[in-house]
Amino acid sequence: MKRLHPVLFVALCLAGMAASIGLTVREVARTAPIALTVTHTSRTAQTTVVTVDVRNTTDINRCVSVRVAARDRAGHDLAAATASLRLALPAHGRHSVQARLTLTQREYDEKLDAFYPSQRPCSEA
Amino acid sequence: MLAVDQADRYLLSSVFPLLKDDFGLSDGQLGSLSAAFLLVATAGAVPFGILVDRTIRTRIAAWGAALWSVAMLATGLATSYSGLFLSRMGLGVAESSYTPASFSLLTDYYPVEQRSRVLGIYQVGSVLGFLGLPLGGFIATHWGWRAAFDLYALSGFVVALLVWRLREPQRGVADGLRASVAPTMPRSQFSNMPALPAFRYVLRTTSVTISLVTNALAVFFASGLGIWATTFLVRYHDLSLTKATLATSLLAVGAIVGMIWGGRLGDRLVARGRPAGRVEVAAAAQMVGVVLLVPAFAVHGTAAMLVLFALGAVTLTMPNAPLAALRADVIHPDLRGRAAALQSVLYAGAAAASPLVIGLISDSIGLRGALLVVLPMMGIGGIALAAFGRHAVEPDRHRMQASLLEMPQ
Repeated sequence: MKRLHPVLFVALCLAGMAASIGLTVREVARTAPIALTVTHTSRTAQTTVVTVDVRNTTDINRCVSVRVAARDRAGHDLAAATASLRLALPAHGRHSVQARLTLTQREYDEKLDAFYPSQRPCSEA
Repeated sequence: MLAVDQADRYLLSSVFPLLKDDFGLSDGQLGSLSAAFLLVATAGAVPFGILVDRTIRTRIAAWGAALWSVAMLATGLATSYSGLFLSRMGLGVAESSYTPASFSLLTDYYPVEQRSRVLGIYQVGSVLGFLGLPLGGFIATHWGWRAAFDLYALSGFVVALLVWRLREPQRGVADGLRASVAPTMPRSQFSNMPALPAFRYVLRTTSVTISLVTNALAVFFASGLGIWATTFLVRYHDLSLTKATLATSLLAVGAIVGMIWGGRLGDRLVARGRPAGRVEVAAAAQMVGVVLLVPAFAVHGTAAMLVLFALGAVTLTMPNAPLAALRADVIHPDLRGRAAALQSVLYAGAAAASPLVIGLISDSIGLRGALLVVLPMMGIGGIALAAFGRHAVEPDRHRMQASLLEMPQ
């Protein structure tokens, strides 16, 4: 039993390390086929226009729905809007879309952390 | 270990927006994930504190690190809200194991004259952990939040293996009154004392109770300030959110300086023949902190505010290491795990309540007023520490030393 304890512990740690590396590699390999980047924001009165660059990183044509959320540091949505309900992207193609979000001045100055774009395949949207 | 743990602990909140999208979680569900962790981690500190005083501490800390890494992997593999919730509870259980263990171990690894400095350096780990968060954010943004949890788990397993290899020190030998004896030595009356009498005994040690309560007041203010500082800078000094966040990092730099200086200063005063030196450093820091931070919050000039803010930040963490060392000085080695558990519960309560209390006061009188109302509590703590804590140190230390000499050799 005295010898079994350290063996069990080391086995758990080594298995855990292998799993950590394996799962990280798997996640990296599964990187989203659609890359979204916020390229520009502008604000007029209470409306903020967020421009998102949508890039298809795969070899097949895709159709996505793009949504943008304005979030605070705790991850709460301050506002959200759909930038495009059906955006057709050819293989390795890219396109810019815009979302208009309404935020009060106080929300914009004090609460807003960042704009988070997200996408879903057209069939799920 | 503390740095890795802190990074793991706060990684979840930094990927909240991504979790919200993946699982369609409500704000309440996101908040409950943090609450589940905090509740379990706080409650778990008590049984682990008892265990630490009765068993091999390096094993508890090593298993804790391994299990929290398993919990990180489980978070990365979660496919539902309930899976996330359970994995965060698991992380809480694992985390509660190492705080009492590491405190008890460090106080036995290093002699009394270095205790405060070592505990100060140890506490720097809590701030360093935050520095790892941008890396987590980067990984999450580029390869998904699951990859961030999977990779962070790796560091936990490495730490677990390193901790496993640590030597289990003799309890009480570092206090300088006992010679090193065989590892199978009989333990004192305290090691198997039932939980309630043991906690009562710890709390009857005057300098421990005073240091816990007064330091909790400083923790209360510091935790609230950590949450509200950015908003204060945006609201009253017209800084953009980016600049305000950058300015708030002054708080982290000040915190690191305070932890290290507080520890060194405490040891130096004790070495110069001031037995209550650790208490004096802590009391002075809490009082000077009020003197620096009241004008910091009241002035309208941003430059002056930032200078006072940075200096005040140093005093916020300065009391922590000397007071932790003081508690080790006056608490029997077989009770230090339970003393650390009491500290964990009290400080977690203070840290959890503070943002809410400041927020509620702010709703009535504004954020500046709220900070100015809460801040004097820290000074009052400093005054109480100077008035009552200083005189309690010597009798408490003598009582501990007497009980240590009674231990079977």
